[in-house]
Formats: sequence, C-alpha cells, structure tokens
Amino acid sequence: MTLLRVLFAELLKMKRTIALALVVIAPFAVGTLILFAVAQAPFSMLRVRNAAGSQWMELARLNLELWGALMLPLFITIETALIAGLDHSENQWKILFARPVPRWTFYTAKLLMVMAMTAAGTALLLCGVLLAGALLPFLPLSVKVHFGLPVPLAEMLRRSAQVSGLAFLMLTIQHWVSLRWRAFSVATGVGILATVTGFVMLAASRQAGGWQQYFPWSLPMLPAEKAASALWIGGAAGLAVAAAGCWDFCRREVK
Amino acid sequence: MEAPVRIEGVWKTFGNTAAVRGLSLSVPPQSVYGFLGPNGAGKSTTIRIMLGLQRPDRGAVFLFGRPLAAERIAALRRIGSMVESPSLYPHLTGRENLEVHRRLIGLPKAAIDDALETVGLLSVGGRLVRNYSSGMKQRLALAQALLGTPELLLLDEPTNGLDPAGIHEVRTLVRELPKRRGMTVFLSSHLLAEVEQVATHFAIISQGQLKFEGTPEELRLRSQEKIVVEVDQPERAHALLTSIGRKVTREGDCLAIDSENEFGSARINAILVQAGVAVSRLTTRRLTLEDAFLDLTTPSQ
Repeated sequence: MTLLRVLFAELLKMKRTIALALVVIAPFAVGTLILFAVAQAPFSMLRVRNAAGSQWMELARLNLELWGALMLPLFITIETALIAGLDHSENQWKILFARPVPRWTFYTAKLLMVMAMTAAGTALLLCGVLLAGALLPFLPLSVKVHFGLPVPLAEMLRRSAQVSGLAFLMLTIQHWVSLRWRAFSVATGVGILATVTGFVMLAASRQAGGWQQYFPWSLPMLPAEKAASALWIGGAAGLAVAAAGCWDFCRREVK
Repeated sequence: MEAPVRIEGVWKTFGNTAAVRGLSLSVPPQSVYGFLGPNGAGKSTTIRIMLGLQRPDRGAVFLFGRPLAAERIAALRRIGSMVESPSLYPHLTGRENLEVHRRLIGLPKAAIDDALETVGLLSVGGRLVRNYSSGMKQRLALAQALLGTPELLLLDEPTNGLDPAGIHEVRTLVRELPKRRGMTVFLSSHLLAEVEQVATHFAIISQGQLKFEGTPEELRLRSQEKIVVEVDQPERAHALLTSIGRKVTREGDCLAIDSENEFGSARINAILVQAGVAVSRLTTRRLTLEDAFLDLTTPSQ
C-alpha cells in the first residue's frame, strides 16, 4: 500500500518532464530511422520472402536490433538519470526521507517507474512496426513488399519482451549509479561508456552469444535462441544488484 | 505531558570535525522553541539528526518519548519539517508539489487547500513553482511542512530569503500555531531578533555545544552587567585586564569587561590609571538578549 502511494507520487513528479516525453521520442526515432532505411533499400533490409508473416518479423527484427543495441541502453541511461535527478536537484531527499515512508519504497518505486517506461517504450516501438508495416506497401519502393496477414503478433511480442527483459540487469546498475551519485554526468557517463563498450565487445566477439552475454549492456543484443538462459541469469543478477543498491540507498545519510 | 523532543548526549563528527558535541536538550510541549546559534554551530546537523536524516555517532534522540532510532516511521508521522532552503519541484504547480507529499503521507485531498490557505497561497496554487518568487517558495515549503497538521514542526531558518512583510507573516503564523493547532514549533535560526519575538523557550548552541537552555526571562537574568571603558591604549588595557583574569571584549577603542561586583567600575578605573592608561569614559551597560546571545556564542578575545 505504501509502495503504491510512493509510486503514484513518483508518477506525478514525472508530469511535464522530458523523461516522460522520451518514452515516445526514443521509439519514434528508431521506428522512423528504420522506416527510412527500409524505404531506401527494401530488398537488402527486409530480405524479401514470400512466407506470410516473415516480413513482419524482419521489420520487427530491424527495429529491435537498433533499439536493443543502441537506443535502449541510452534510453535507460537517460531515464534513470532524469528520474533520480528530480530528487537530487534541490536536495529533495531531506524532505522525502523525513516523511513517514520506508526508504526502500522510494528506491523500488523509481526502479518500477524506469521498468515501466522501458516496457512502454518497447511497446510503442512495436506499435511503430505495425504502423510501418501498414505504410510501406503504399510507398513507391524499388521492390514490392507485402506484409501479409495474419500478423505474427505473439512472436513479435515475445521477442520485444525478451529484449526488454534482457535490459533488466543494465537497468538496475544504471538505477543504482544514478541514485548513488548526484551529478547527472556520472550516470550518463557510465551509461554511454558502457554502451560503447558493448558495441566493441560485440564486434570483438563476432559470434553472437559469445562474450557479450556476460556484459549487461550487450544482453539486449543477444539473438533469440540465446535469450532464454540469459534472461534467467540477467534477471537473477539484476535482482541482486537492485537489492544491493536498495541497501546502499537506505543507509545513506542526507547532507 | 511527554516532551515532543528530547536529545541526550548526541555527538556527530564529519571527518575530524565534531559538528555536534554532547548535545542534550528537551523541548516542552506546545512551545515555540528557538534553537539559536551562529552559522556552522551545528543547528542544521541537529535537525537532520532529529529527523533521522543523519545518524548520531553517540547519544540518542527521543521523539514523543519514543527512541527515534527504533521508531522512526511512527515518529515522522507526527512531524512536519522544513530544512534549510525549500525543496520544491519547479516543473510542478504549487498544488501539485503538495499533492506529491499528500500522496506520500496518505492524507485526504482537503489537506492541500488547508495548507495553502494557511500560508496564503490558495489563489496561486495552480501556478508553476518556477514562476514563484523566493518568498512564495518559502511559504510553499512551509505549507509542505504543515500538511496534515503535525504535532511537531521543525523549521530550519524559515525566513531565509523573505522580505520584511514575509518575515512578519511567518512570525505571526509560528506564534499562532501552538495556540490554534496545539503544535510544538522547533525554530532554528542564527538571528536572535527573528526568534526572540515568538519563542517561549530558547536553546543556544555554539561549536556544537549547548550554551544555554531556558526561557527568555532566564536568559535575561543570566545576563551580566558590563563595564565599558574608553581608553587611549586599548591594546595595553586589554592585556592588563586579561592578565588579572577579567573577560574582556574589544569594541573599537572601547573595552567591554564583565562586571563582577558593585565595586567593579572603581577597581578597573584604578588599575588602568595606575598603569598609566588614560580612561576618557567609563560606563556600565546592562546586556540585552542579543548581548547575552553574542556573549554565549562569541569566543572571548
């Protein structure tokens, strides 16, 4: 009940913030980029096949790859930093921690907020895929594309949920860093550096499911067949990081 | 009736600096308790310890008779606080700022209007806080503290940034709270003038130590008479009087000396004249509350 109250308070704090706008902006940016790329080179991008539903999955794959590899780590980096920044600025902690509310609820509510925003962003990306699929056949492309029915929605949802779920460990780390250090630059610096490192590791390992499955920021890039086991490992590690972060947050003194 | 705040032997150290040194005090119920001290005396640290924002190295805090360390949440339910500068969300309206806290505490919606009305912000509650003046922000922070009509109100420098009219409003409000709402107000400030008009009790701290606790009358009684002498060689006179164990404060060309008995003036005059120091003026001065405050918080020269 208390957690719910804190969650509703967190929700209100988000009003008129860029953090809320980013939930729409980030997936829109990815969807638009992919739509533009596919419109330029539909054959190479979509690997045109005739099987019903395959083009939908191709379009979803393109979107989720860009989302998971680049936009999602950056999105989580910025969202966690912005949400923590709401209370770092003007040292809100001295008022919040003086309320009759357990400290862990603040940590947990903020974590749940970022998780919900990540899920919402991914869901909006999926909506963008559906919209793009409906739009592409009407565009003057060099190759005729056909997004047949039925739409493999369940499979697209499963893959989207996988990508979101694989980001959990990175999310808990970023959440801890953002709340631990007051400076916005620390949280964003860690996130950007880690995202770039994830790219380098991906390039170095070459084999999908190689090194990168041990690096939190690379997990969302894992192929579907490797995702199931990584979800368990990442989930467990994420819970451990969240618990450690929460413990650290609760014992902190407010200056 | 149980003291809303009781502090017993609290110590708090940051690195090698002791911010609070063995502080003990007791706040009577429904009082306006002025917590005075110069900047850096340990006032804000004490308030943070009272709210559980910082842990004391030693000693204990009891709120409403219960140990804070063991029953923090229960104690905080009965407390409203404003620590130093206002902490507000500038992108939200005044009303929304209070709504955040209303949701945290779980109060009915009417509590917001009640708090806004108390601080005179009801008509501008829908305006974004980033457009508030510093005085309005200060009053909104006060409204945050008043949400839910707490039994104990902790206010740390509540008139910072306010114009004279704003200071008057806050002073009136603070004075009325114990009578109108049965609250106890713990009012921290470095300005005696701000507190002496409303406080029923005082505590004065300096360098983390309690120097005085009692009523304004007790503080006045404690005030010693001072002998003020104007001399041609203040340095020499200062050294001379200090060497015979007198507490002397330099005030320009004058020296203020603690009076010890009714023959103090004559004896001091004799000592100075015999030593070849010309005394051009010699008067006695009864200490005001401000003098007493300065006397307690300023190290002797």
